[in-house]
Amino acid sequence: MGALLGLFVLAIMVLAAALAPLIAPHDPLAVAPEAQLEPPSAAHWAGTDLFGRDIFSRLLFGGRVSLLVGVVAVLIASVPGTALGLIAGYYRGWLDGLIMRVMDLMLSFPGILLALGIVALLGPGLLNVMIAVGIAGIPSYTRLVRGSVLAVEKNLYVRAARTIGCRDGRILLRHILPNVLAPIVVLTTLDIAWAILNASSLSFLGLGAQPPTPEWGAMLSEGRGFMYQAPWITIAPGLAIMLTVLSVNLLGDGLRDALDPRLRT
Amino acid sequence: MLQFLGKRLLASIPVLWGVTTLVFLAIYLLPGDPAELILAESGGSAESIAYLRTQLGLDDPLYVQYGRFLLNTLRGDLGRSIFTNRPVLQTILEQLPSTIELALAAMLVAMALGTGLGILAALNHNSWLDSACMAIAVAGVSVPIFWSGLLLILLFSSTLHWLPATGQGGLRHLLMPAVVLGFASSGTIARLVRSSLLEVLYKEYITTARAKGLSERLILTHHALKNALIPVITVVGLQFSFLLGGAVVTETVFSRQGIGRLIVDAILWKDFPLVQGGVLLAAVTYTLVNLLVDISYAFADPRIRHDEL
Repeated sequence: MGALLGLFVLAIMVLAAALAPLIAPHDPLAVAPEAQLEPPSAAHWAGTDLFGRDIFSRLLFGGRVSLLVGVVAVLIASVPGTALGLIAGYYRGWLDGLIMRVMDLMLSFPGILLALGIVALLGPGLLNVMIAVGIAGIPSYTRLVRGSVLAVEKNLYVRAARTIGCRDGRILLRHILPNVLAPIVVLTTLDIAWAILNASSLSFLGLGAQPPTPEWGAMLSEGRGFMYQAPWITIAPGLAIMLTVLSVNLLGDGLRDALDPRLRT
Repeated sequence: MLQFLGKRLLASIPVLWGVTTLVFLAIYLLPGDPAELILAESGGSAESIAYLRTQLGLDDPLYVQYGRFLLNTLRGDLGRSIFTNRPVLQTILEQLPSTIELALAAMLVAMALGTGLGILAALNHNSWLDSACMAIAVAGVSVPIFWSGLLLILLFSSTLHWLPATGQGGLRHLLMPAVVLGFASSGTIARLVRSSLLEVLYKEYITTARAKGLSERLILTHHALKNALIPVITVVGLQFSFLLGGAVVTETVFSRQGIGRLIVDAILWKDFPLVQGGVLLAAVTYTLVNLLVDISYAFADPRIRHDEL
């Protein structure tokens, strides 16, 4: 029930972002000094910001940025994270020890602080935020995959594959990976929500998307100074972030219940 | 118990050493010269770059720098801020109490709200109340802190004039930031309390307690909750990590002092020693909190200390 609702809302969000150039009533970057800080109206559904830019159009284009950031960051996290988890769980030994100690270290940095530290090194910017949020997400995949590999690897079909002389790469990709995929899919989904939330937080802090890019966290930050005169500038993008993250979370929860009851909390 | 304590304490030393090393190495992982990097945007002259190099000790071989960094860190010397030239440790320690205050208050909110929602949901399993509690929990995980914070400011400060919007000092200033941050963290706790309690409620000793004719209230408080809340201790440790991270955003929204805001400002100003020190101290705090969590876990559940030994 919740999962379907999540899927439905998310589908609308994705569609709206994809079709932004077609359905946006205004140019998201077009400055109109005469239409400064206008409240929501028929012409501007979500009002205008300090530069007279149409907030609804910016929301649509901002959705492209936020969704893209979420997906790219999760790819940066899940692909190497899964590979490291497969290697650690399959080969064990010193390689496993090394990989897992590094992951433990990364997990010793609280919350988004690891991402913050990486942004500090790479410098502010949207691309760097994707990389930072992505890298900070790697350990959860490695841990999850390693644990699943340890469980799956004992199965007879893995031993059989080894006996008939399959190479390690083939065993890992053809025999083990498909059997540990379910929890990865669930984590990936829930991780997109986490990535969108963290990336927009970093943009809100001024470390991510730079003006005039329409990004939800950055839009919210821009509206902060006029919160009392023009609350719609801050309310609208926040609502968009929450709806997106909420729908991804609901979808992830549903997937988890369906695919992997073990992960249920 | 003492042996367990000793083992745990020893185990945290390599973690602290590793974190320190990672923080030290971070700046060298980048291509290019750190001094040039720091001064790149302000367009530093060759002399100022050379001066910064000597000041940061970048002309020495890497192992000398590393040894010096470790020794200095052990002595509590984290270097000086590039911009204010004040000792990093002192700057951070001034801001730390405010962050700890916020994190603890938020933790209190998260625990109260999380366990409350979780118990309510579990006791009314599969009813509308269960769904409502879990909906609130998902909302908690999904709301961006910077948004809920601004909404509260709009309502309670700008419209109702009940609470101060920003700043420091006293319970009135702490209330909104703590609620915002605590709510974001309560969702995870609520879900765990619910599932843990549901599991316990079907255990045989609960049936036995019922058969003895104990009241439902007594069964819940004396038999079910005691066991159901043990796994919650672990998640509280993990949530403390979330709260430390979330404090970064919360402090910015409510213009509070704290190491979160300090680190963000330091990043924007490219004040690397301050960023290094702040991130290091946050990681150390988190490691120590995890140590405390492990120890309290062992107190709450005797099985753990025996397993470990």
